Amino acid sequence: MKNLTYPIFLTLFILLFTSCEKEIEVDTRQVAPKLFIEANVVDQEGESGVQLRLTQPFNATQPYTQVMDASVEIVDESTGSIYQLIPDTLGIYRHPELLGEPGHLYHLRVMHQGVNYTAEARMPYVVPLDSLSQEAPNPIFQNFSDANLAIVKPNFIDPAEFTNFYQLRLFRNDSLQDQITAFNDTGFSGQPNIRRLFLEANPGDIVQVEKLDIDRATHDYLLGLWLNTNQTSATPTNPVSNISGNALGLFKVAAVQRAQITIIPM
Amino acid sequence: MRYFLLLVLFICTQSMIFAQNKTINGYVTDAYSGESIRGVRVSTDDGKRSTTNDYGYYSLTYSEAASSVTFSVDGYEDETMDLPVEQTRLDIILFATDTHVELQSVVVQASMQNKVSDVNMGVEKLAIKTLNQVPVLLGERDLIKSIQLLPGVRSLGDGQSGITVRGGNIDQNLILLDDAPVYNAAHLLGFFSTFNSDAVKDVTLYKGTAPAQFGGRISSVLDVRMKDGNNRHHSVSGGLGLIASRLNVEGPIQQGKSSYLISGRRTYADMFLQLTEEFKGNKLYFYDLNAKLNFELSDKERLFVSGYFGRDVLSIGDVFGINWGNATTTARYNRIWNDKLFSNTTFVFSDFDFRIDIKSTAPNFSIVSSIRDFSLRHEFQYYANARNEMRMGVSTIHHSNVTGGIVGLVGLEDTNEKRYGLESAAYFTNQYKPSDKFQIEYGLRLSHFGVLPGGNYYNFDSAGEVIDTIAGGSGFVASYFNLEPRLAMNYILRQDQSIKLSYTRNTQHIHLVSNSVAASPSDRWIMNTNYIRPQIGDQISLGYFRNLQNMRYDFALETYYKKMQNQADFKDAANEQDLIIERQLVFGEGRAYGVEMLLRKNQGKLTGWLGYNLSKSERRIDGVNNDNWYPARQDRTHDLAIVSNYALTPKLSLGAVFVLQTGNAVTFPVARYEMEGQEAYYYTERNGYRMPLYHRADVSLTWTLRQTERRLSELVFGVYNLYGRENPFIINFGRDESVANRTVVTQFALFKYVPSISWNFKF
Repeated sequence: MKNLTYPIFLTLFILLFTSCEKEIEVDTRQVAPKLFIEANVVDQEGESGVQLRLTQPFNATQPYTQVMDASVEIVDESTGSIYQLIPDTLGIYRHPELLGEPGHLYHLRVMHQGVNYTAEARMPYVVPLDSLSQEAPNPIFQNFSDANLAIVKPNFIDPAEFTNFYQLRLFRNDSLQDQITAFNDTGFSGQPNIRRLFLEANPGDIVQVEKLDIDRATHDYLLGLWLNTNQTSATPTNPVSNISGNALGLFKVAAVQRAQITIIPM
Repeated sequence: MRYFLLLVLFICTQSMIFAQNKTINGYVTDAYSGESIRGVRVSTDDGKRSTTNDYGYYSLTYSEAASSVTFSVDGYEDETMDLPVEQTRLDIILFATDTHVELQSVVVQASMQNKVSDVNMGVEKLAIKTLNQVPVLLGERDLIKSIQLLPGVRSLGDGQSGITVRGGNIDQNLILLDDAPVYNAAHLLGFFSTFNSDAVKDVTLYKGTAPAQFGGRISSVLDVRMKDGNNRHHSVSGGLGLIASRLNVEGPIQQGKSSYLISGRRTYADMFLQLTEEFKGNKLYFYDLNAKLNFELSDKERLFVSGYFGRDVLSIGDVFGINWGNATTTARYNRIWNDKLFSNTTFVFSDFDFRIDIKSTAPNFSIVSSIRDFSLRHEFQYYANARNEMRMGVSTIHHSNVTGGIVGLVGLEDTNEKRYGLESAAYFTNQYKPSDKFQIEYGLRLSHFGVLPGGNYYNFDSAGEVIDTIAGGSGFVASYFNLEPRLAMNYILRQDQSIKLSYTRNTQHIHLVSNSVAASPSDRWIMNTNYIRPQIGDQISLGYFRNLQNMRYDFALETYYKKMQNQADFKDAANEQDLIIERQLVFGEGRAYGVEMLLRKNQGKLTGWLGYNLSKSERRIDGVNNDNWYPARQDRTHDLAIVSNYALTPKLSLGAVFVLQTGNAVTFPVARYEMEGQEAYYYTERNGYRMPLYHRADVSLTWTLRQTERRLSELVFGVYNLYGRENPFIINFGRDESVANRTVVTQFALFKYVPSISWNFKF
């Protein structure tokens, strides 16, 4: 929530004073394409997988190049199982038996063009998601938007024993909304969640929230990614990856739960 | 140290040689207002000279051969008189050359005579005069914006608070208002400075070597002095502008002995906005209030009490609010002990606080940060003889600092990162004139910063996690001693030419952490801790100064090299919102060097100057940019400013400003990728790119409707950014929503032709 204050501030600033906005050409240096890894191990059947792609220069307009010739392996250290993943038709490396278990420690090993990329992460225990509720936003915000605004709050109780890290992914009528929400239990440790999601949604829209129990490294990465994509930071940089070998990307091991709600007028 | 003592001994023997000389001393004041005038050159016809100090006091020792004394300063008629036979006290009043000299437009009017003969270089004095009109945004005359037109001084861009001097960071400038530090000198996110020009007497900027009485910042000192208040006549002046109005009232309490001044300014754009349905319930304004009282307790004692209060308020209904402000109070006591010894005792209180209130989307809470100082300084000025003027003093400042806190969150204790510190210094400086051609000012400042117990101090592991908290006993948690030598030399080649050399070391114990692309009041002040060490800056500079065509023109060329230690920057992927902010920082070294040139025309219908600066400012910090040197954000290769004023008729004058400078250094990505369904950016180096070239022209037209010594009525029309250059404020990379696999780069500019009209009055 702290991360929200600055963008609000900046947006307000720009709203009030910006007189001109225009698209420009920026001539950035050319670099060799670099591998980026999006690896997920989750406790949901068929949803774990690894995607390997290459970065694109800004003047390119084609989709990202999929890397299909890598060796991808995930090891469940807690059971000793080793899974060799192979690409499916979409280019995502999968294994039919790979299913994450809370508490288990996982290793990722990717080998591509002679370079090894490795990571490890433990799946956190599940904090049960009870329900979603809708709240009315303060009418003053409606002055700044033509769209209808809504607030959705996931209801769950944070366990007091540990510092817990959460990610919320928001879908409106099955479409993923452009926002990265990762937070820890500061302010509600051992108590009901206080974090709300703000979105544009009309009555009748179906809003789905995916709540992920994540580890600290994933939390930090997502905050870094949020700064990276929003560029309000004084010193924009690459988020710190948990993958060794100087690759871009994240090995996310998370427990996932979902709930949905139909937006009503408020 | 031994050499230093020898030098002092040498000076003392020199005093004896001149023992048979005579001394005059006293105050120099303005004939109309009774305001003391600083920087007045006092010279006797035997070639001895001195200048008035910050309180308008001088003391000059001359030989028996002298028969007359002359007082001269820009903006006033020279005053020459026979030296008194008996008495040593000689108070002088000077008459302004311009009848409405007190009226307010800020103009940089450094005398080249001063520049050639003064020992210090890199010094710019600004007097408040109407000789020129510098066009400004929305007609609000502004000290800081005018200073930014001098070579070596820049803002970070449109709508940015703070100044950067000779490649330094914005926190490296000591901004003083009547000796009280002003921690945030900007209103409305940097569009206006906190200095209401109605209340300001004069300003001195030290870009190079500041004398040893100043310390605590490594780049510059901006010494702003408030007016004392007219002790002869009551007067009311002010202005009506598009967004703000000003009112200034001053006058005698006891005729010729004491006076008061109250000056206020408030913006009122929000009052009109209240009338619109969309803006209703929102707030956006700032105000300033300056007040000063001064008393002549006896002919040897004076007391000044001044205060400043300013606040900015921005809010969206009752759900979101930001407000910040400064409050300062200064009390000063001057005493003349004898015709050679003057003392000043100063007590200062200064407070800056910043608060964001959030009451809607998330749980309600507030984010706070603040810094509060109490300080005391005692200083003697000893005018030993015609060749030596000494200054020595001690000072101490108690700082309380909340680097960041979250308060009011339901179900949670308030989190406040509090720190305390004690900053002390002892200094000695001497201005020594071995001959009429050569002057040297040397000084030494011993500074100490003690981190006081009672705050939150931590030890960290390599990942930045807190290992333990330092409890702190009775002593300092950490202690930093530094010796800061100062040296300035001036050799007058011919009457109209001089060369100067100077060296200075400064240390800095208070630092600003800027958490955004745009400098803003949400930037947080932090102090030295066990983990954060003082910044140390060494600067060496060399300059050549010349008057041309009998002072019609003057020319200054200065070059400098600056080395900076313990420079902080964010580590890669830092969490800039972390309350324990120091663990997000990494520390390294910095260097800045450049050449500054200033050519000025002082007389005629057309006056003004051309300033140019060629410079570089870089940092090298382990863990940033692959440990290589990288440009500081404010690094500017080229920087040009032309300021001119043309008197069309006695009642009409035209002012124009043109600036052209290399864009700020920025970090741009080199490629894109995708994570979590979002477009992400791959960065390879810090500050490796440039914002587009910045350039802008502003014009103003001043129409004087009526002008007498006591009355004034004038209209000022202006256009800021005359040809509508869209200088980007921010450049953003983002996914093209309409074309797949395409990134759009968007620039946001703040201003395009901002016209203004304002009316200034005095009666």
